[in-house]
Amino acid sequence: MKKLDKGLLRKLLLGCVYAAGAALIVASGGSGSGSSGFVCKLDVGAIAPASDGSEDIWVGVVSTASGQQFNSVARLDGNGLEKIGVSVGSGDDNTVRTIAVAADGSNNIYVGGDFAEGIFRLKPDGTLDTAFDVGTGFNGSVLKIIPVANGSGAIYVAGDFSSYNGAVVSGFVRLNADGSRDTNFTAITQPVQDMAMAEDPGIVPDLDYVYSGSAGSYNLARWFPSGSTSPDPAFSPVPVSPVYSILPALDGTGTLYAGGGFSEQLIRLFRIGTEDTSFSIGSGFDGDVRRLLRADDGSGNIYVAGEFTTFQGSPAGGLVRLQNDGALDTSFNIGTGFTGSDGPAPFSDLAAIALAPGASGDVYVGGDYQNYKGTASNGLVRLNSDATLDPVFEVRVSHGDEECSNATLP
Amino acid sequence: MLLNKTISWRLASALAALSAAVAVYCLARAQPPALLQPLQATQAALLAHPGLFGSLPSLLFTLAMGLLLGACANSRSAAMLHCSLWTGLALLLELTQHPLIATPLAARLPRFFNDSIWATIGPYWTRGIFDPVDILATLAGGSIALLLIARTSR
Repeated sequence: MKKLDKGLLRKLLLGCVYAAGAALIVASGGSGSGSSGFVCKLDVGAIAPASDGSEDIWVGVVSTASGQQFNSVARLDGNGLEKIGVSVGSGDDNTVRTIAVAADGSNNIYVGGDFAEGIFRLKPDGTLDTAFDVGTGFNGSVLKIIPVANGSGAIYVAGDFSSYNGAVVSGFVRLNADGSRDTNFTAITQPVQDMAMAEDPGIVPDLDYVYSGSAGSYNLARWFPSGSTSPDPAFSPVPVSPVYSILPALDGTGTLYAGGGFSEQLIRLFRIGTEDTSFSIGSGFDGDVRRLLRADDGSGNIYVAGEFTTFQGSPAGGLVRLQNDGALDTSFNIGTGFTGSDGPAPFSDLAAIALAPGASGDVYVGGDYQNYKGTASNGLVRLNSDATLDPVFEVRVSHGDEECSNATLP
Repeated sequence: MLLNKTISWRLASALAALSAAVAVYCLARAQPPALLQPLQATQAALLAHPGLFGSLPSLLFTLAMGLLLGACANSRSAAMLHCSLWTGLALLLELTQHPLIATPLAARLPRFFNDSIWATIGPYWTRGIFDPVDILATLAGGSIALLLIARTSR
């Protein structure tokens, strides 16, 4: 009996050592170079095509290496190589949230984010454009900038702020090309997460209207360009909140997509605000919808990014492409998609947070991730129209004197 | 009950190897634990030589586990058997990080675990990157452990 007990104890001990050893390997993320992540981790929170005939893109990046976190704006060529890098500052409170190219032919770059003043303008060569004078700027984060489509150089700015250059404003203002506030535009709302020009070529008046989406009052609203304090009463949307992203369908009828953290997650609205039930995502996603982008192929399909891992029960790691009736476009096979968010700040668990069209039907996806379908991918990829990685694009941006790329840690 | 000399030697070697594995593992990371932040110069040296130190934790951990299991076994042959079994298990785990295996595993495994457990173990497959050098390092660690067990059991 004593001998049996001793044998049993030995087996138990061996079992425990095996289990503890295996658990240590798996819970540590794996030993050795195979799982240690990148020498320099990249989070990409904003992307905008340069819109000057080149394949270049502007990106807002957070790079982290050896415990140091830098924020920057970079211009990358079609291969992902940095051509221009502009430092924005270090730490979480300098994160770049949005980038927009001016629509006045200057190719200037507007940059918005969490940093002091909340907004600045760069010349195409990356130098600061001091002709855009914002004074003390915004007292909170700028989340979206869009140029007014009249060539004046004016811009709409939305975000989580309540004052601009000392004046009390809501989360939605219009600035002139010199940085002064357009006091004719007096929309009163709450912090705005996203906005979009209506610009539907099928409806001429829509060219000047602008939509806003937020978590507060007027969670969805359409504003007159003249800027009355109340939104357009002809747009009476179904009550959904919070709204994180809006996207005009540009289908000639003035319909609008709205995505967010509400129960339906993604809906399409008619021009008057009622829901277009010919678009339905069924059981939808297992997380919130954060970003929307029209597919640049004339199909009417849309890219949907967010905090989800499944769509209608099937794997969909952070991004899907939907047909214009809400059905999954299965030719865009995302599978497990984007994984490896290392949260929390600045983009906690937002694997895919920035979308932009590529030059030839492909799509740029930026965010806080370390893998795309099992391949090490450091926060920014270009996907072909079938969701395969474009191997030509390899992100390489500067982090101080070092380079941030897909190079992995030892 | 006093441990005999052979077992004591294996245990001491195993603990030394385990400590070294943990130290290298923690230091060779972009953001080591706060406790190890003062050792940034050491970390910089490790990061400067990824080829040299990259797979060292795999080697040291397999060595440590082989010796630990050997110390728990009741004979030389059993010690060598468990050491070999562990090396095989470690190789198998490393192989599951290959994209051909990791991708379907990452899609199917979450349903078997609650969110907090998957958040802990999931990154092994979702973030883990297969590296053939780790396979070699694991084999080397297991071989060294086997050699030590054979020598210390004579």
